[in-house]
Amino acid sequence: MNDGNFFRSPKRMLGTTNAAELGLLYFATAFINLLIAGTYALLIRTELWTPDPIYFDTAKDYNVAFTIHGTGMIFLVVVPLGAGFGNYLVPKMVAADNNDMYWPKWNNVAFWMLPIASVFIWFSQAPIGWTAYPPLSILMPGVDMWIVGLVFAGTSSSIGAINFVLTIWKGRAPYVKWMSMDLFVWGTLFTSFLVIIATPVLTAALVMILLDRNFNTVFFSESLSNPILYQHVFWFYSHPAVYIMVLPAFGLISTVIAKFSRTQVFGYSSMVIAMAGIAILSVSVWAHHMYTTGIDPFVRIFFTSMTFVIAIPSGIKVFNWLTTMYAGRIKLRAPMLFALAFIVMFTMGGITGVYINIIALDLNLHDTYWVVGHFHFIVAAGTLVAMFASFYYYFPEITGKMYDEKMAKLHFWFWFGGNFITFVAFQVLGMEGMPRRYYTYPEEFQLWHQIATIGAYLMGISIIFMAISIHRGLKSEKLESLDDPFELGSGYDYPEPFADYIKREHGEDLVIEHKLSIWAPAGAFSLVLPFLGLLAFTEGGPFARGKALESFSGSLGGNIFIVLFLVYLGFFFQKESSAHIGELNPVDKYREGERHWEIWVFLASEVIFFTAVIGVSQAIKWNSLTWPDTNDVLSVPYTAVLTFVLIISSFTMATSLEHVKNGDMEKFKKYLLFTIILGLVFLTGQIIEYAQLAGEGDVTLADNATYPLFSSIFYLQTGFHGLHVLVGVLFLGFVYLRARKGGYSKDNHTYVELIGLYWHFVDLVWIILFTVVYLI
Amino acid sequence: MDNSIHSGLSDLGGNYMSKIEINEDTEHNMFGIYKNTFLALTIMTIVEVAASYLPDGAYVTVILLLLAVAKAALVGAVFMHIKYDKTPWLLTLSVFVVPLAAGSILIFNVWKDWRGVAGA
Ligand code: HEM
Ligand SMILES: [Cu+2]
Repeated sequence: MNDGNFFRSPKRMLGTTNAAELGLLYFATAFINLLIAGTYALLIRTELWTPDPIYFDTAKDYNVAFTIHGTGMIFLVVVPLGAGFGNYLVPKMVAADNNDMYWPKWNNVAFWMLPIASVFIWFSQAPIGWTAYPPLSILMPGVDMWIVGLVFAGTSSSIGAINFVLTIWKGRAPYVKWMSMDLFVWGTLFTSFLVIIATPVLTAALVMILLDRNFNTVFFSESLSNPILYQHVFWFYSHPAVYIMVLPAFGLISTVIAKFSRTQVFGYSSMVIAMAGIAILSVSVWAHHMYTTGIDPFVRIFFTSMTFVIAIPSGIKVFNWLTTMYAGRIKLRAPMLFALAFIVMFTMGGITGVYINIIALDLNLHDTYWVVGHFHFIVAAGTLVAMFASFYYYFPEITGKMYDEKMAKLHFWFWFGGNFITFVAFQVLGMEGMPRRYYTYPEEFQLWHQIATIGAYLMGISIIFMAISIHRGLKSEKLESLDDPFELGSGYDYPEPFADYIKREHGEDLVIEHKLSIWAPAGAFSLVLPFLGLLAFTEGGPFARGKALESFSGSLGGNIFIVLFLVYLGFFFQKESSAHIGELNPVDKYREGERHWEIWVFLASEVIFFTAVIGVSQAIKWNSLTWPDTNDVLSVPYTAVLTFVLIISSFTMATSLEHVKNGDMEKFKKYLLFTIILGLVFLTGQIIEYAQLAGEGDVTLADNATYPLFSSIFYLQTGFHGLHVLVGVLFLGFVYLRARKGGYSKDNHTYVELIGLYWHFVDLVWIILFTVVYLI
Repeated sequence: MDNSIHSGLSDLGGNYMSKIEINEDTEHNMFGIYKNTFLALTIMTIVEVAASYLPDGAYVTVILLLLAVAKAALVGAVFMHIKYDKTPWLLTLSVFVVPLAAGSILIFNVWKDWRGVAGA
């Protein structure tokens, strides 16, 4: 497909909505990020050659290095690689219509958030470890920027995940049956569910850190609250995140192994069930990262049991791969070598994982190099290796050419050897008691540290071979046929493309065409502005901890960014609202009449977000001795009126939608306007409430606040909800503008329906919040 | 967005895509239903505010929670049209129950594993 010109045209790279091209952009971005994060790894290993400082002058510089290395590898390399393969392969594997993702434009937005995230994360230079535990993450510089980067990365993968679910669920051609899909499609589907369920919780945790840093909330305060709270919320996301990384790899590797064993995957349905089991169980094992925190023994037993259980499906998969190879005739080309390495390394990682799940052992091994070895076996030696395997396997299809086999094999041997040397050295160091995250160590550890460093350099060298292999491949002759480039007796065999099917069955010729969209990337980039504004308000200087509240009027830079964003928004509204409806509306005739899963999937992730925010707040409340009576500190009648306003707005919204369905455009617009006005009334009411509370009374975040915890959760819950109302009002305003330009009709009002559902949902959340925050 | 394939598809009778039918009988008196729902929500809100002035106690909390859930359910069922969906249980389960359950595992453990007593 790739005509080679793609990477020469910035306009096409920016504006493409073609999933295959976006897949290539993901690969390119991930590769660049791999080089950066890899360089950090080599710096770390160089530093550890001797106990004395070599490269880093201070422990803090060293902390920056491993933070950036870890965050980068996870969020900017491995997760994006999964999305890259997903973009490239999934639409083809499910014969999605137009060979594209369900929402091509959002797909573009999701991709462009990734380079943005990368820049924020690389430049943040935060010294807190990828886990960002408080109190350290509340005290150190750079963290705000790091968080902004992670929020971008998380949003990118959430949008991507919703898009994958929709593509597989709704975009799948009718003749592609569930149990005949490539296992990679299943892997992507389950990963996407995990992203949708878990990422909002990470966002909640990070925002709480941000608030603790800048707005004087006390969620993780050592003296007033419970810093361990963060670990629960963080790992609730981050344990599933390790499976988010590995599930697509499972899928990819299954195909490579079957192909190069020249047979079918053994135990297809058990593979699917195992992945489903892993996905479901993975939200109930997170506290195995917290065994040594003095955790409640009851909780600890639960988690160690669940973690043992989740190892079973992983084991099933390994046996299935072995059986597949046993039943087949193996051909050892580079992809297969990498696939074999995956099995070995993943098993090493799994077994070392089971060791640390034995509580008695983990009490010794936690926070040592054993753990570092464990997850490097799984992520670096496992998941990344699976990506390499597939990259080589699909290389001919992507480029029409063959990579250089000799160099690829050198890449393999250096990588595999380096992995093995380094990570085994890590396990040994761990057993001997070397703690992780130190830039110096007692003499007796030096030998194994040096072995680990040698292994790391082998890995670094292997990437050079990879680059040469790709380079030579790109310069080589085009292959004559892509039917079976590896001479395995079968090729990539995707299901018949949908357009071909239509032509064959119905004789209609459909042109596959992917439009460029400049507004999509522009939208992604514009979101940088409010965050830059936020950073200007918060980072360092006069906006240091606790001062952000006062500094809104004081920060010139921050205000400029916000104004720029508003200007952009106005421009965008003006422009897009007059665009042809077909341009804007992602839901076309093909899907009409079906339920709008796009908004429902999104709402599901909102439900878990608010469950986390409200639930954590309640848990804080239940554990507090002193809690104000809300009738004394808040004005219940005032808020009851605001509640009433929101309820009316739901009524007007529903009425408005009913009118457009009946074709009564005037009433439709009138009630839409009512809804917007009511939304604005609510927001204004909330701002007034905040202003009054901040001025006097007990619900403040001042240093000497009477009820710091109550105030923290009050602003967290109502603030997040207010933000949702604000977003809702903006979207409603957009729909209203369009409506005035005649953009909707009796038959074409899907957007109105979607925004309506969102609006009612925000109302629903408020109904719950009103009770739990104000009434009880 | 590209419609080239889809515009062709719509003429093909859509025989390969199952359509979800929305119960059309209710179409005509929807406005009335919305109005009644709105009234019910308003009344429940008034009751809530009144109840919150009762002396604190477990039963007041329970009443308030039940009212909140009832209101939320009304909004979901009527305004969000879940009630009129072909498979309301599927929507309720996948959009509300499962995420709530997953989140509750987290909340239960956060509560259970609280260290010490949170200060004022
Ligand atoms: C096969 C079953 C597995 C078991 C029993 C297991 C067990 C564990 C345990 C108990 C820990 C905590 C160690 C400690 O901090 O003291 C841990 C850490 C970790 N595991 Fe696993 N694990 C398994 C699979 C995986 C997989 C599949 C991945 C990734 C795809 C993974 C990635 C990680 C990571 C990244 C950490 C460390 C995070 C950190 O502290 O920075 N594990 N594992
Ligand atoms: Cu884990």
